[in-house]
Amino acid sequence: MHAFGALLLILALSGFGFIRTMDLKQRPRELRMMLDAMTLLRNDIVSRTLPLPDALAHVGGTCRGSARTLFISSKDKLGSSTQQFASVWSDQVAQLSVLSREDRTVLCQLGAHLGQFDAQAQGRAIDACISALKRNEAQASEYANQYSRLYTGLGLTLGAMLAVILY
Amino acid sequence: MNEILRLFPPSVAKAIQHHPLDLTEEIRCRIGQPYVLCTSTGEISLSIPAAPSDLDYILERASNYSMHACETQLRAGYLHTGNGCRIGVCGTITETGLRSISSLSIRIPHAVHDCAKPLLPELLHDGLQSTWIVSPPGAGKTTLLRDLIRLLSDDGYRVSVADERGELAAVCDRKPQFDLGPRTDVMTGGSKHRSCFMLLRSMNPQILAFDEITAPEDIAAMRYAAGCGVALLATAHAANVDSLQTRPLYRELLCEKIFRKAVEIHLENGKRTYRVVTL
Repeated sequence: MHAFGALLLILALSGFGFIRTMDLKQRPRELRMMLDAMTLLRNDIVSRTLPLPDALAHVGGTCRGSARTLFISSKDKLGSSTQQFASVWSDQVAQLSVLSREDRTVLCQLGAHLGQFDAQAQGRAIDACISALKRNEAQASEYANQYSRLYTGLGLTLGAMLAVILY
Repeated sequence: MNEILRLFPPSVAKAIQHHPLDLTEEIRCRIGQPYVLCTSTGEISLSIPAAPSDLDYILERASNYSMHACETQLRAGYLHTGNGCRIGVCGTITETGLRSISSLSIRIPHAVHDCAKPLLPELLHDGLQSTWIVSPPGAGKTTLLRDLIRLLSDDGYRVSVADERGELAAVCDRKPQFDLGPRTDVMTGGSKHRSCFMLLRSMNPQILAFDEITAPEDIAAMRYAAGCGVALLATAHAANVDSLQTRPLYRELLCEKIFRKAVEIHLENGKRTYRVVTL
């Protein structure tokens, strides 16, 4: 029984460490999906000159995660809103809690350009967004790699220590 | 009309709603000046001036949030919306189009059912011949042409329309928003002469219709169409048929007798009268 209790304690704290690790890895994963979405968006706007609502629907239908949420909900809100696109986009970006404040700022800055200027100018704005998100993704990946092993190890170690102390 | 009100910021749309939009032919928006509703009998000024953000709002919605998809139109100084409105745009000309937009002129199309019906007997008297519709700007050429297309299509004629600016048919989601009749095919966008050749080759029309001949290339297309035995319907800006002679483009067509009839539209005190002239 003592052994069983000790095992449960170790598993619980390891599990906590594991969950924290998964949380750390979620942001870079979401950023990579967002980068894929931005590449598609660039192609739709610059090469295909698709109207923005159609581009949002196309990209949203192709990607996953928070990128899908952002594009699809922005497109849906456009139909019924009296706001300008930049406001609609910002409101949807604000709901992406999985991304950091810096990530959301980059996305909001892009929203001020989408649909407003000629295709080349929008292409440059999307490129700037992609560059910034790439930097953020690289930093987030490095941070996740550094600290994920730490959290996993910490959970396991704490669990073992507590098991030894208590039993 | 709701589609037109949606173009405007909510506060402006509310002010416009108090006036009859079905009598309004144009809405003028100039930064710093009151909005003006133009009707056939005069102008109505709203109490609110147009702000720069208002024009941005209107353009955003008129372009379907897609200025990049409207570059060709903007370079020509206009935008057409999915419901047939033509928006004239004034600002600073750049290499890629226009910027610093300072004023807009929103032309509201109206379908006036059967306005061309009284003219049909005279126009079809000795078989349908190529016909010009002539008037100064804003007198109703496009409205008359639209109704004439519908009536002829209903009558059994195969009509093809080169709708360069999307005003005649206002095709949206692949369907004309105006009734042009059951035997009408519409080519939207592109130049008139390009559309003309495509329609002649592929749609076997008996009648070819266009709004406003403006370019020398259009004349070549018309010559070709007339040579194929296709009747032409077109509009032209002019006070009357005689003043067409002063414009080299139209003088050529008149000399070659490509057009055999003309309909002059006269607008006086809000009332329109039509006169059929044999050329």
